[in-house]
Amino acid sequence: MNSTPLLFLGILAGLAASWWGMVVAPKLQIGSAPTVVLKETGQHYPPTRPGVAQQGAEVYRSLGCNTCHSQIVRPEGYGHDLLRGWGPRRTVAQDYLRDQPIMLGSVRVGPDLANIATRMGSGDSNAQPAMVAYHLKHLYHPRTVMEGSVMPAYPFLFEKRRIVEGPSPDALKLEGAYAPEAGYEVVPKEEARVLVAYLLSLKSSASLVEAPVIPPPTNAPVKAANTASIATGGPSR
Amino acid sequence: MKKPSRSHAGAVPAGDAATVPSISSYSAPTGFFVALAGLLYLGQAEGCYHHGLFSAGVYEPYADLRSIPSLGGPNPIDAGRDVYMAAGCVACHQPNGTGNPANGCPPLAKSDWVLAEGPSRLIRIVLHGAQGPITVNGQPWNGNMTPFGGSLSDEQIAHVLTFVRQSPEWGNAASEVTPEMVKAVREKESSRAAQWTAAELEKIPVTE
Amino acid sequence: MTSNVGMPSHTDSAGWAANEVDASFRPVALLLVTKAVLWLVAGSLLTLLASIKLHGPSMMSGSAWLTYGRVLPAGWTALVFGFAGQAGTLLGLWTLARAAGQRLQAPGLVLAGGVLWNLGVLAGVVGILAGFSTGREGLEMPSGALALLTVGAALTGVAGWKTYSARTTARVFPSAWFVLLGLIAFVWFASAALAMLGGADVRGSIQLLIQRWAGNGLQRIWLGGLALGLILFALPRAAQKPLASRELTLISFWSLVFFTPWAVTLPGDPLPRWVVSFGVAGHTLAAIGVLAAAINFWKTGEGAVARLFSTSAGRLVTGAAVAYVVAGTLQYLVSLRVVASVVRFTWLPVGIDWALVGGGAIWVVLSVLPEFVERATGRRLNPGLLNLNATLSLVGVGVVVLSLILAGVIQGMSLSNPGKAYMDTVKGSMHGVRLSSLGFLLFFLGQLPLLAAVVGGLTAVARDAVGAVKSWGLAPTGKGMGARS
Ligand code: HEC
Ligand code: HEC
Repeated sequence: MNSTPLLFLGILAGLAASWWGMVVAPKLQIGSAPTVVLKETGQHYPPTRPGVAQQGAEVYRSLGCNTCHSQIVRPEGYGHDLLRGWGPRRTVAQDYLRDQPIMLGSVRVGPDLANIATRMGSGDSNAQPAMVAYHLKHLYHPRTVMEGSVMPAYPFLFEKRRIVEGPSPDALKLEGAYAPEAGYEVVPKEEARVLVAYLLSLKSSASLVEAPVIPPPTNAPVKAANTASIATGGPSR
Repeated sequence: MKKPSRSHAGAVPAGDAATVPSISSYSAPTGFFVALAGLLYLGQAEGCYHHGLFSAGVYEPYADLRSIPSLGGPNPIDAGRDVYMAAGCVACHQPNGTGNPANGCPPLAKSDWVLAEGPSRLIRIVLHGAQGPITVNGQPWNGNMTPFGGSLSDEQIAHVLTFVRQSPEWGNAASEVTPEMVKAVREKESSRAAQWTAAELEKIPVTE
Repeated sequence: MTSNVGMPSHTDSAGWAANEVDASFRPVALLLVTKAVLWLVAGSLLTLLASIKLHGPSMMSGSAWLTYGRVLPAGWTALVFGFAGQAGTLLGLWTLARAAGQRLQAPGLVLAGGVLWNLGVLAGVVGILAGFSTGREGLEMPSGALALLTVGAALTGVAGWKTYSARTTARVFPSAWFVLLGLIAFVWFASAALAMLGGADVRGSIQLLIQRWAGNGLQRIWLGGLALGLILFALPRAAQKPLASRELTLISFWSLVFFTPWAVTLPGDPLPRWVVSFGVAGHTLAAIGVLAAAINFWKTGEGAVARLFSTSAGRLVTGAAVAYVVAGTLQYLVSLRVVASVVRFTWLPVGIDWALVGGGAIWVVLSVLPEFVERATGRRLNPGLLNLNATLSLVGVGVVVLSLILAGVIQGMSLSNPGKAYMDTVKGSMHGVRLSSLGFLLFFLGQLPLLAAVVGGLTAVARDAVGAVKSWGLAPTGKGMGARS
């Protein structure tokens, strides 16, 4: 260890080996994987994100939502991610193909969001306005929809303004302590809208060859209690 | 022998400033080396039990491609398409079979190698991999294809090659490859480990 | 067992007398130590704010700059890069110079590197608060900021290698290797991350691998390596005993070089099974180095516990040794599938991060920093303030680590019960999280006395220096004027 070059080369060899094994080799193997065509629908997966949703991803990144939320569903046996209804199957590399940057998260202060688009109520287009309204209210102040939430409020994504010619259609329906004073209304700014568009683009539920969706056996245990369900009209506590 | 240790308090003595601690000759107990060996064993065992045959398409909870329930289809072409996706052929040869000049992957769609009369060379390429210069449709290529003999069963190799040879999407139409053909080649080449080169393959008749 | 701690054993072989080595750090200490301590104050304040914000959604929610998702990574960046890394590097260079029996070579490079480094941290912290986070856990600072840090580290690294190459001692005390490893590791991991994550062709899960690989390398090899090197230097000194074993130190070192960089993935990651298994194997093998360090620490401190606890520097370095081993052990345990399935994504890994960075690294830096400043400048720092700093830092980080680990275990158990509503899990884990706020508060408060001590000491040094310059500079001028008149 007294030879400087040996020490130097040893360190380089060690660091380079891991780089090769953990970065270069996996990159060679799956780094240029293309989108796949889904058997059921014939569509490409993952789909391109609409432009607004892509802008929303930037807001998500900038506000650091990933310090509290993960976007990963683990396979069976790992903390009941599946039973909890966080997704119909585990997530795999394919699901993140379009994420730039990938915001997997490492702590779950709040629930996983990998399938938030479909998880809360039905994903069909009729449910869309209700979902948007839910997320906007939630972002304005989480406790308007979820009692006891510790998620931060994001009032700065909204604008409180005086009602001039009748209430605007996109004003939040706020009650009680959260409602603005009479004559005022709260409307989402562009950032809030695109952020919700991003949330509603988050779904990793298509059946893939390497991660098939396996319908649960009929005698499956009860599904885990979910955070909130719009379909049932509000938060289940 | 020594001054009391300097706490965060005390004057700044100039004398002992150059010292670094000395080192005693304690040698670790046998228990340490047993634990060390244990950890080394556990580390390699982890890799041995969970390598998933190094396949790009094997994720927990599946141990290998063979155990994925959805892998397979009503006919060899559909089954082969799944293998093509899951085994990682797609990452190199691309979904439309055009290959990828960026990493030296030749095309499979309308390739003269693929559409040869018999599959004997193709089976060998999939079993042991291939590397070095190769001419496909008159174009020179030079890349490195990993072997799949360990990770795919005879049936899966037969399916993927049938898909490659008959893919309607790519406009390929050649004869089917059966698991028996793969089995025969596997047995014949059982002593081979090295990747093939085009020059070697060209010495093998396309139909055996 | 005889010990030559406290005796100038190297001065005979070394070309430079002891205090010349220390004195060669004077400009570096004067310029950079206060900055590092300011980052410590800023970082502990920001992490305190983040923790308070968890008490309710409306806590300081008015401004995007102060939202949880920005304050937390900004605070962590200030602590890791601004304080622990910066001060750790300075102290590392100092132990390196002592081990090499040589004055700091090219101090100008260290100064220039330090200036770039501080600019980088500033750009990083402000960038994150302003919303320019990269969104990559552990590497949130904007890439321009990371580039500044990398250049700064490279300059400092050159000075480190020059000092090491100019050594006058036959056998170098091993903490020097860890310092060299740290210097190389930073440049290696940061520049690889910069080069690869910038490119648009690196997608999805591969980005995940790169950022984890770099983040792990920076935390466990750069910072962890510096911390281990410093503990190996400071623990025997505080215990007034020799370091137990060169052999165990070697094992720790090469384990850090060859095994720890692989500890990248954890069970459940969205990556092919073999990639995950390689990462888990890396975690397993990395435990070898931790085990070797544990025995080394134990044998070094054995029989000297009373002495270790008798000074605040001793208490801090003992705490750091324990925290280093605890963090390493937990990191290994969390990589096991049974454990990962329960506690991954809970507060427990956050607790581990705090054990390694707040305990292992920050405690040992706080233990050695005052002596470094005193020796480099020849000025005593206020011992009362330093004692207060040590106590509050030990208790503060201790409470943080324990309460987060507790919160994580509760959260994990609760999540493992699929019948339990998610909000009940959130509420259940909040007790531990609230308790941690107390720890963050103590930790922050504890840094104010340190700041006072350092600023007080260094201002006095500067005042003396100015006084010296004046008395030396004014006299000739006066004479000149007299001559002219
Ligand atoms: C301090 C941690 C924290 C941060 C930061 C945070 N959240 Fe949350 N989030 C929570 C918690 C806790 C819950 C569960 C309680 C609730 O629904 O409000 C939650 C719930 C949610 C839900 C509802 C999930 C469900 O299943 O009901 C969505 C959507 C969401 N968060 C989105 C976001 C977005 C977008 C951001 C960034 C702007 C964000 N969160 C930032 C903690 C956080
Ligand atoms: C790591 C990238 C890679 C993967 C994965 C891969 N190949 Fe290849 N393949 C290559 C390269 C490179 C060549 C050319 C070899 C040479 O240069 O000698 C090749 C050649 C071939 C050829 C003969 C040349 C041609 O274009 O017709 C066939 C057939 C083939 N591959 C089929 C497959 C099948 C089937 C799979 C999946 C089981 C597969 N490959 C997976 C890289 C790959």
